[in-house]
Amino acid sequence: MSEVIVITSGKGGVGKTTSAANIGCGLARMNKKVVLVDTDIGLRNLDVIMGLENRIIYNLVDVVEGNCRLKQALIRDKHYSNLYLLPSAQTRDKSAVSPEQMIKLADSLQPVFDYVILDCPAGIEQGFRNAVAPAKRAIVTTTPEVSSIRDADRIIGLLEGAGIKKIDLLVNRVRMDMVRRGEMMSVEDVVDILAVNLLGAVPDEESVVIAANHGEPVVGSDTLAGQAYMNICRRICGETVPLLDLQASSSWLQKFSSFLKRK
Amino acid sequence: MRGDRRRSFFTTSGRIAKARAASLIATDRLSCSPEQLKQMRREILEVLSKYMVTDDKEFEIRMELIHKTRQGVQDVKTVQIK
Repeated sequence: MSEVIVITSGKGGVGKTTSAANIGCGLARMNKKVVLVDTDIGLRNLDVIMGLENRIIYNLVDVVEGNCRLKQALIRDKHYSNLYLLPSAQTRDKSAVSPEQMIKLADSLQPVFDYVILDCPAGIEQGFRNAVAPAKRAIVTTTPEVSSIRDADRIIGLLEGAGIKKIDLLVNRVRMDMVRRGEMMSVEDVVDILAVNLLGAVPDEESVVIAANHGEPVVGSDTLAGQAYMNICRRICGETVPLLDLQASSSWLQKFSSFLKRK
Repeated sequence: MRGDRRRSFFTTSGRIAKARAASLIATDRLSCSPEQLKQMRREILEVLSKYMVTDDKEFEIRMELIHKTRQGVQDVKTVQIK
């Protein structure tokens, strides 16, 4: 059974593309056949995060306009032979593709892949409508900040309006040290406010930046963020996985000293 | 700096953020400004005071958007007030 999932957020810079790349790689690690579609026409990034920027010949707009066959535009990942990327066009703009064309594209990808993951651009304009049109399921990415929570709530409303029944939340960039001090909203606080199902939380770690620098996924590595993404992928596949303790990295001594600092 | 930290023991910036996010989302969902919400609260209390003695009582008005449907070009909202 094939699933089309859109990864969206409203606000820019909260980690949609990074999450899309890591979820794609994580699902591929679970031996699923996955295609990542970059729908951000004009500002393509997913290829860079995946380290595949030098292999692009054809893109999404070429496929939609019939300049090439779908198979020609799909780029196989460096590490996972069952993971493919459909890159977006860098020299065109959002109006080059319509929601109907996106639905047609997803329909032709679905028989071949277990998961079609759509990386949505920021904003709520045409690019968003294009990415959401073929999706049956959505993952809303947010950070524990007032501005991105507000945008996430707006996006959830728009997704519901578009008839998407399954909406899950991914809380990104959680800094447990700040949460402990009470200087950042906790994952529970965010879930409380937005009242949607929590798919998982990813800590704000250097490893995510370092992995992106190399054009590699963080998922599968022995880091807390990597484990968090892996758990998210298992939940996407329907497994029940307990929430990762993001404080696991700190010893009792660190906890004790941060308790003292609070006073 | 130290004084700041002591005060923030009770009202941490995390709590402030949560309250701000919650109030923003409430006003976004109802498409109603915070001033309008305050005005509504005042008027509800005024009406209540016409029918009962309200001086010695504390009121909490809870509003919840329970249904939103689109009819033509307009959103029709059903709000429950407790």
